[in-house]
Amino acid sequence: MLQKYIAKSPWVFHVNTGGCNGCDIEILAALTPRYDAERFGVKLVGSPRHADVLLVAGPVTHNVIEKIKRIYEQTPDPKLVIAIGACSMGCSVFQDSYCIDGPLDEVIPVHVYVPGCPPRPEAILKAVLMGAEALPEILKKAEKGELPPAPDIKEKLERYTKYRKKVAEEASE
Amino acid sequence: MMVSIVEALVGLFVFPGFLFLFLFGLLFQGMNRKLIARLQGRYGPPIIQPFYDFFKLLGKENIVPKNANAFWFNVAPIIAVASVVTLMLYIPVGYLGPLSPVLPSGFGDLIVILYLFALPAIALIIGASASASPYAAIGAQRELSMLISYEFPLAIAIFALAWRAGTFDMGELFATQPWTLGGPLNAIGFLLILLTALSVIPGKVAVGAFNIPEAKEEIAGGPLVEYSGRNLALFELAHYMKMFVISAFIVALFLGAPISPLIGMSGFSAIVVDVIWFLFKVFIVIFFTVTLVAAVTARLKITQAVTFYWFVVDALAIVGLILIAADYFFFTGVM
Repeated sequence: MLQKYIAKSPWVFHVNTGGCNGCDIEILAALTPRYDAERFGVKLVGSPRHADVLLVAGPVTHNVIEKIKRIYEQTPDPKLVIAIGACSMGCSVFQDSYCIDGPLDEVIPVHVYVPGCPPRPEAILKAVLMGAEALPEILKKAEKGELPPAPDIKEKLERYTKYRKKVAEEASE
Repeated sequence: MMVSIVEALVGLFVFPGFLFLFLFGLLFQGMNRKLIARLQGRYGPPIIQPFYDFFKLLGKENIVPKNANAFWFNVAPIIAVASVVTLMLYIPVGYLGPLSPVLPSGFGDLIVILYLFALPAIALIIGASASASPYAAIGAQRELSMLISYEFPLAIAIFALAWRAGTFDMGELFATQPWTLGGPLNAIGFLLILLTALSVIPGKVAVGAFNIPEAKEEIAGGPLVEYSGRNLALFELAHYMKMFVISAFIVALFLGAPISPLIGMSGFSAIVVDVIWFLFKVFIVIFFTVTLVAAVTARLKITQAVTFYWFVVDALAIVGLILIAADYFFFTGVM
């Protein structure tokens, strides 16, 4: 019942998963006084615990996979994940690179995609507002099981753990 | 004077207790955000935005971190809200009369109020320390440093007033106008004391230059970093209520003159007019000490804030105190 208030005050948390920083600058541009996101109640928060909306940019590199998973789990339900930019949608120019575990929807469930390289601030703001508006519907669909299941990243996490171990061993030598 | 149970419950939960504070705390915060936006040339959120935020947070999941001390983590926000609501019962809302003095025998003690004012900050420190996060630990440290820096000038201001008026009773202090207690030196002294008390407000509410404990950009929300859902909603509510209560306290002590005798009203309508007049004065105080400070200043370092309170504001308070004492001993005479 209280879910409808998320559309009135979507608090966003901003994550970069190894992108080129272009999308981050556009996200920050969307929060400047020129676009005045606060008039819709949008607020940038400093902790994922306060967030309703995760704005994720970047192609999800090998090093960041565990962190993005944890940030997703730290965000309290109900939450919305927005993939910003071409990288988080389909890895863009980083596709098939040895150090990439993306795209984003193969790591965590994604609800809204914003295309562009980078997308315009208006598009990001609109994605936040429309996504938050549609959140009760998304939750209903998730309850009925109509949404694609959460991606299985066990293998990728194992690869990551192995990699971290190797790095630690090399450092201790 | 004894009060009936019904009167006490109404006082605690409706007026001037929880419901009144809830409405006006959030409403004044909404106006505050709107005015900050207008001052910065933005359109700004709707005035009822804090209500949206509060109800949204109530509907969110309430996460307790694995390493946190779950008991204190959950109790701290309740302590914060309860202490602020209790504070409101000690403050005359523009008049003395029915429903206002809820607590028996007089209107409450200034020293109790001073201690209760420290309690929301201490609840925040307890909650932060219980949440097992390094950011929260830094936030708690900063909150503690802020507490020791602004409590002292506030104490000087309050005790100057209590000493001159000869009472610790909040009702009597509300009825007394400190400016009229002596000659012009006394009036100037109390003007400085009022300035001291006003400059404590931005520190207490942690806005603008003094938004050091919760610095969102550097320590990710400080003491609140691990809080989510209902607990975060209660802390935010306590914060906005505190903004209202500290301003109402300063108004009741220094600018408490009711307007109804001036316009010749009496009875129930006089009470309504006095409450509205009181709220207007609280709004003016919040505008100059919270909104303007938040809109035009940038965050200080914690050492700079402590130095400001200990040397600038304290000096102001002590000069005011000396002026009041000089007036008392040399002009008005020892009574």
